[in-house]
Amino acid sequence: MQKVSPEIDDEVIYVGLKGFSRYSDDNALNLDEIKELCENKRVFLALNRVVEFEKIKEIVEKLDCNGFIINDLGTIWRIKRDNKLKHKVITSSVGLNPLNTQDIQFFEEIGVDFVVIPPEINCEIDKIKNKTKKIKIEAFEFVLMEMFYKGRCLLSAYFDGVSTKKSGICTKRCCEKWDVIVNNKTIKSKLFNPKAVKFVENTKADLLKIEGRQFRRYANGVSNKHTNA
Amino acid sequence: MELVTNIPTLEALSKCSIEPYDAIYLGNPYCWDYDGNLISNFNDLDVAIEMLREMGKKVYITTFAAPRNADLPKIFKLIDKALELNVDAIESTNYGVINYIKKEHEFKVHAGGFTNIYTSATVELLENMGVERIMPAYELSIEDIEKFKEYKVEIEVVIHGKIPLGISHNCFLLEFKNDVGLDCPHLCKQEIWYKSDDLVLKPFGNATLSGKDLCMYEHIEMLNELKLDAYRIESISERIGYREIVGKIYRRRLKDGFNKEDFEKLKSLAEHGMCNGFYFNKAGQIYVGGLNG
Repeated sequence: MQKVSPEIDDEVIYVGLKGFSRYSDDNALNLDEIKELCENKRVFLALNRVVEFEKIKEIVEKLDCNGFIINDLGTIWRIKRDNKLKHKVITSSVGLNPLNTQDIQFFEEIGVDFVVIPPEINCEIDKIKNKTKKIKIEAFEFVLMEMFYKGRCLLSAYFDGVSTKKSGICTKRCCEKWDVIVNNKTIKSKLFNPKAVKFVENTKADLLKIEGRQFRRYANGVSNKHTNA
Repeated sequence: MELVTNIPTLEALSKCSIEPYDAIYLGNPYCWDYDGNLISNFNDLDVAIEMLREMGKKVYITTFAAPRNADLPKIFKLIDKALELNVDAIESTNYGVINYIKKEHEFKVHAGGFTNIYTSATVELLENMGVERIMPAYELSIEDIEKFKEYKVEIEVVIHGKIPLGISHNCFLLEFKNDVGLDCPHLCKQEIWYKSDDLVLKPFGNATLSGKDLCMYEHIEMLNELKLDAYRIESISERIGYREIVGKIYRRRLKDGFNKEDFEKLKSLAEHGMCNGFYFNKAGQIYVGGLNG
């Protein structure tokens, strides 16, 4: 089990469930470990691999977490229409890639409680918050800005047969050295490596997210800080 | 079975025959500033639609694939224009925009390939919203797509062409304008590829496409068994002539069956080879042999 450091005891802890969470299962927990953690901590469970609704439903029914992060709008919609489940707090994963106020309004309509916004739109939090009455906005404070919007990259699936959406694994093909060829002539080489970015003016977000699982030397797991906003 | 393709500009529409196609998606969804983009040039759009109507083709208008707040006013204007011209449907890959079209205008919507349609639950959600047609996520297999048949939405899949593999918040090509000596909108009219050993990608506006041409020519019967509603030939980034040749080949394929010469022609058009995408639960860049051995 990942250790929760004392200094983040009062914060929300995001954990992954083996087989359901993005990135490696190495740091993910099993059901019993999560149940134990829920007894003392405020736990949000990342079920952010895309799997069919029935499998997600089974987990959401079993666990009394403070919230669940889900990467499929249809699944969220069904949970929020289910009388036994609709009270569950649901965060829409950044993989759902909301990009504008219309998106946020729609997410609110189907019952999303928290929206993780892509870091590319951090600068628009004011506009987004003005358009929603109920939804809480979760923004990255520290993030890997990737080649494509998070949730909109098929490179691993295309080159390696590993779906980041479905299996949670990224083979990081963006980090290859790519020759840029224009009209049959190589003009330069280019890396599309993710870039670590720390945002300093995110005070309007309801939650700040520190991307951790791809950044273990900076963070143990993923932790989220409530702001005073 | 509807055979469809996409055409970005009036020039591209004027310089090739679209006779093999039943319907056309007009506009380039990956860059507003693409030279002559029909979703940014309403005078050209008027002419293009008139031409297609005279030819008896269905007309769909695409919208920008990754709309931020700053894009919404332009998208709303485009939607108004599409309504005024009474096109056959509007394509969007953005839930907010899809919801807006349905709620405000009750107009026909096709949810495109980047709408994150992975599960039956999402297909049911889109059906509930009144969406007429969906394109399942590009990375789904034939078995995955088959599950969606139980819902009352039309299903469209790509049978040929370069599929989008990612979309970004800006155009990477602008980084190379000094190296190439050309700026937007002339830069992306060049033949540009990213290569890393045998891996190939094609940058195109805010999207990056597969370097290989997805090709289901040999496997069309497998798709036919699903009784889907539309087959798309992705030709948005292609040179003049490509969509006409490929369209004719697939029209013959659907009518008369396999033809080795046609298949060889498709191979010759694919500068960096062919693949089957994700239909066979393999890496998208792999080609699985079929009728041709």
